[in-house]
Amino acid sequence: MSILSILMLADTPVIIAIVSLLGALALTLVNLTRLSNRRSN
Amino acid sequence: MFFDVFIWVAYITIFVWLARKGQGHDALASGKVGFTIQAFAYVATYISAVALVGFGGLAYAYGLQMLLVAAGNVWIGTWLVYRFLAWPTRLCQRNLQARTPTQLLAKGHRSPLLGKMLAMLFAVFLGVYASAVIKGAALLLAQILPLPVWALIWLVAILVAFAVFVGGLRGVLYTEAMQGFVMLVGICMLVAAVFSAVGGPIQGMAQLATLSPTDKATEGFVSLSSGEQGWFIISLIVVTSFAVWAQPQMIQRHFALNSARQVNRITPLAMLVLTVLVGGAYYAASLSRLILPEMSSPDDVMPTLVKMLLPDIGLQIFVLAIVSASLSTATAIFHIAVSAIAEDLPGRKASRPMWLGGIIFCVLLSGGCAQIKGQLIALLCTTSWSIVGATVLVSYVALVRFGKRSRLAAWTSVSCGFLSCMAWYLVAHQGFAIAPLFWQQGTLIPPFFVGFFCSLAGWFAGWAMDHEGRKKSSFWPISTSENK
Repeated sequence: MSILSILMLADTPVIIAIVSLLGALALTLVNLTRLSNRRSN
Repeated sequence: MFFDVFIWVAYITIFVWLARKGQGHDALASGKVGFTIQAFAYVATYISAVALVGFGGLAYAYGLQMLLVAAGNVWIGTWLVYRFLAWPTRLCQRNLQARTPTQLLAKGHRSPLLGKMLAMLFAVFLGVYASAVIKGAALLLAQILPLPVWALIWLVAILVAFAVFVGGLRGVLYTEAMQGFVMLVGICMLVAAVFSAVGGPIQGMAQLATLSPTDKATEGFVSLSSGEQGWFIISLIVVTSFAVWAQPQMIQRHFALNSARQVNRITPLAMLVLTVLVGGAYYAASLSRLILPEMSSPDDVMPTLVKMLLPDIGLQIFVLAIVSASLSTATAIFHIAVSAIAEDLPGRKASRPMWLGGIIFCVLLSGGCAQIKGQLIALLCTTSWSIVGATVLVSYVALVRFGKRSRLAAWTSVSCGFLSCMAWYLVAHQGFAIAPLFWQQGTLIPPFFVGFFCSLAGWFAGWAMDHEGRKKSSFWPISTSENK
């Protein structure tokens, strides 16, 4: 079962909550990786 | 047994060691503090045991819609704060040479009397609110330590006072960071255990979607409820995500910033920690409905879940995490209440004896209030977050973000915010109304909303009348060189 098909089970506000939390995770991981790369350079 | 004792001894030893990091520093100045410490300290101050245990219980009852609260905390309560308020607050504080959030507002709006009024408000409301936080930690500790609750209350109050006395702001930041880390470990363990019990996050959500709606989750457990229940969730998002902007203990966290560049490092880390903490806790608590029997009290959900899924060592670490959540919030609140009593009220820099006197007063106030049950204490504890937020938010944002300085507008805003929010509690709150509710639907409007909009109206009214103040008010100079 894919994450997309699971998201179809939820309604829009809950999808927004899940996507924004996953977005926060992704964004922060990208930012932190970029910062650590800059530091190592 | 030996390992349990070892964990607690190690925890207290590290706590004391970190608190001593502030020795030799001014009690109200943090000195240079790394971005990791600041990020963890911000989250630990933000998230109390109520957010983890109480709201975890709500997630069990309401389902995945509680993730909206988590998302609001992450984006509105953290990202927006660091993006738009944190560095301007630091610049204002530095330019005005303010040592506390109270002084920031008093000097910013050129009103020492406003500072004294806010100091009184913070000392009373936060001092009493700390009693609820301390009692929460003591009740939890009573589950695993063979000591009476009254003794544990004093023990926790003294531990918190120790960090504030020995460490000052710097020590408080370091101990909070450690507690934030412990919270993260505890929640990660619980989330992993719940995911394993329900067959994974996706499988769990699919099962949750098949459950029938209830009184609270009126549209099922993967949807926003309709009517009053949905409105309750939305008001919870607003109160927990916006009112946090103006809590003095959160404003003070920005005083430790070194540069605008440091803000860029703190933001992602704080968001990451908060997402895992609250997002993980609410997701796991929602899924717990699949494995737990029907629970009558939401507050029992997280403890039952932990006892059911984690081994003894995990239970100890989770209790440690919840105690950490309480202690970190309590130390931050204590620090603000003590600085209000020792420095803001007398109107001069706090000497060491004054600081000690403020701490003793706060220990007696918080410890004493935690021992007794009373309607007034319950009122102060419950209303603290909303009243402080509604009182301060508008004049704080107007000052640091828009550079608007007006004694009259600040006074009208603060007075309208405080009085209307308090009045709404006494008129339309089901628990505290002193007279029969005149308008049943009014109970649906959270007092913070009423207080905020009255405070905003008060600000604009004061601003419109303050001709002289408007002329002197200018946009706060944010130096471009400092932004680089």
